[in-house]
Amino acid sequence: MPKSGKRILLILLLVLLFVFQLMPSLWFQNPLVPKALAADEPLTRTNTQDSFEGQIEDSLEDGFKDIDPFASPDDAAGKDDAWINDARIDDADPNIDNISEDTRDEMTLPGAKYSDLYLGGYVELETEIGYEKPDETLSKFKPILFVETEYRINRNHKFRTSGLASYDAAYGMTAKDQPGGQGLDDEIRDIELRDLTIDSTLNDIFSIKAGRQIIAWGDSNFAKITDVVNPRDTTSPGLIELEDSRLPVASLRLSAQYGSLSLDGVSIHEHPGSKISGLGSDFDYYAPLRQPNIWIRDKKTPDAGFKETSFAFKATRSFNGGDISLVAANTFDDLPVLSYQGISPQEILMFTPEYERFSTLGISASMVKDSALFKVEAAFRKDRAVQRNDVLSQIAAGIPVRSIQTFDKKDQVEVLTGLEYTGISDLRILLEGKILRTLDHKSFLNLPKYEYRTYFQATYAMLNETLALDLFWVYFNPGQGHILRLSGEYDIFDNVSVQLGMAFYSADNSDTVIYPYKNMDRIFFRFKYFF
Amino acid sequence: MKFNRYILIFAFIFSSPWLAMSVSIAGPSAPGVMEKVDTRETGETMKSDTLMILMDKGNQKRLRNIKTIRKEYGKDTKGIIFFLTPADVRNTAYMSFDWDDAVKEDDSWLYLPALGKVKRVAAGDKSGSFMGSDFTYSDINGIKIEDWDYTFIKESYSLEGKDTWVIQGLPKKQAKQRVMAQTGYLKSMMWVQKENLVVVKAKYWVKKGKKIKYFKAEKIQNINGIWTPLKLTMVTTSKGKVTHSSILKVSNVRYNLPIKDTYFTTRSMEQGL
Repeated sequence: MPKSGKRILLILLLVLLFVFQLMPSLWFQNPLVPKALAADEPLTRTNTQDSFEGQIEDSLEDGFKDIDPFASPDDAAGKDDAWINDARIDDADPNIDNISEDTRDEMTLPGAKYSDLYLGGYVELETEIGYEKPDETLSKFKPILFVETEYRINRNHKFRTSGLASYDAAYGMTAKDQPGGQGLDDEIRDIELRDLTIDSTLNDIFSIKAGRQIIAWGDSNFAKITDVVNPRDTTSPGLIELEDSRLPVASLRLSAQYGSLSLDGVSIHEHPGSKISGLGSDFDYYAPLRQPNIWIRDKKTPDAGFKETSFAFKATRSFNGGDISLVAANTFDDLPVLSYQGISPQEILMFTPEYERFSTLGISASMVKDSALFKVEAAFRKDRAVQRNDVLSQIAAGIPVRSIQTFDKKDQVEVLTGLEYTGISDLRILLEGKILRTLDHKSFLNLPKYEYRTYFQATYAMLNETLALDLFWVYFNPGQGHILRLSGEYDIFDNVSVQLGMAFYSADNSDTVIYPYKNMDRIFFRFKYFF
Repeated sequence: MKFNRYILIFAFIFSSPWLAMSVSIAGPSAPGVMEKVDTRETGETMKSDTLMILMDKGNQKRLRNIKTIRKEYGKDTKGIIFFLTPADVRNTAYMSFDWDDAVKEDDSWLYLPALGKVKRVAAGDKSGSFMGSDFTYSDINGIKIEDWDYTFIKESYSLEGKDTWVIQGLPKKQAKQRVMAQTGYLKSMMWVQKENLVVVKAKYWVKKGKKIKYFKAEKIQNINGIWTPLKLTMVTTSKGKVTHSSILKVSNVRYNLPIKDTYFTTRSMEQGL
């Protein structure tokens, strides 16, 4: 069967599964809702129809019968008025009406009543099936435990910590148990401190937040242009939710807010780089370079602490209908460049991923008009390391190890424009496009002079926001392929949700970035329980 | 990113015409009554807690808890809302500046703790569901009464022993398309209690899906001189059957407390409660 035929079948399967996902809400009562809220009878009009109609006709008289604009037989004025005399709601659900204000807190979820101490988290199971790989069915089977706690010490100081632990059992259950490096090990088993912060308000203007944290800047939902502080998780392109993609770093943030002007200064003391997949992963970052005579060693990150401190500053001015921010930073790149270490006795070329500094001067702005949010983001980057594509030629030419240049430092300009539209009820549409231009471009750079990327996302909320259907599409340089993701997330209960989706990777040109992943199409399923 | 479904606008429950001071009106017209309802005193500041109970047709319930802080600046309003539950949206904050000047766009920001980011949001369409409830953003925020034609259905109607006006609202011809686009409503009917100008009951004809919604305000208390319903119910029906219903239970309402301007900043959204 051709690939497109398979996709159509899988999309149909997805739609069917969405339908079946809706069924549980009709079948069983949420056992997690306190009993005080469990009503005995559904809210249908049949219970009180007769008495209601009598009442409505008596009380509202004839005038109300003519006001129904729909004028369908089933929907005639008055007859559909099953609730308007309050008896129906109250009769159908006496438990709700009997709850007094004194017992209000008993019927709320844990955490509903504000407390100085909070403990919560979630358990998640992520599963993926790489149905295009002949030798593998289960690509991911990853239970995740996330725990968070917050403690408000006093009015001005708040402590927060969170962390997660995960283990991808698919590597032990399938043929994926290949030798790997640091990147793969991190994907298989991970224990990560997500937050460890103390947030202090110094006075009406100044505040300070210290510790491992996420500091998200910029207006783009996807691209990283003035969002310079946190690296990202790039291990599964298109599959990682935006909220999970930023990686926290140890940093100190001093903020000042005066009216509509806010200033932020950040010193960054940890430089883990973005998470990239290692050898053996489906999304091996260095897949195009994998050859028997090339060994890419574990990444070498800059020292944590004060010796390699990075800095970032932001000034934001809010005005009616918009915000504008200026950003200046000197930080380490999130993505590594390879440095050459020489040839091993086994005649294997050794490379190490390393991280270089560069400077950023950027601007970010957003403006609202009715239901549209327009955004612009631009940055000038000074001395950014760009990988060269002639390294093997240099080695073959016998150039000494120390003289081999694996990357060049170039200036770059990156510009993004975007539109977020929410003018159609329950639908959110997001479109962003960006161009990255490398100045003084040379043919030996492993990056085109112009790099284009387009992001499109449409999210439709249904069933009183219990079901969200989502389409996410990333289009790379013309002819370079795309990633398409379709998914649906359904809240079975307030604290239990499931997500089902599919991701497609398309690339016909072997020079393209995502070509190594073209057979990684997958179905994914996620179950999440909040406690 | 589930919370993106919640963006748009949340205004402030107590800015809506469900509340009013006790005002006597002699020989009123329907537009005159609605103007009095709309221009009622709601206090310079307000803090409250709200529990939302959402019930689907299978009678499965979902709960949301929010804390609301509002401050009036003349005819302008600034407000901030913190979400306490459910767990996946805990610490989410929404801030809105509601300008009286019709030329100015309302300003809204959303803080998503999972992203660690404050972002500006567009809030033009107010016909969407507020947090999955049967209330729309226009229900919560209030409507522009100048866009509607009001007429009396009955000038005296006894509802639960209280005298009410029953008023029908239709979008003005020149504003019809805009009103329907913004509110989703084709028509409304309201029962206004005469003694306190509170809209105690209402019926809305919804364009999308040809649904009819029913509203009811209960447990009306005089708090610091301001009549305040502590229980608000909205039920959505389709072809005479209830499809979904929502109850807002409001508590800890406090008016005219001193509230610092620094509450209404993006940094305050990040810092949370």
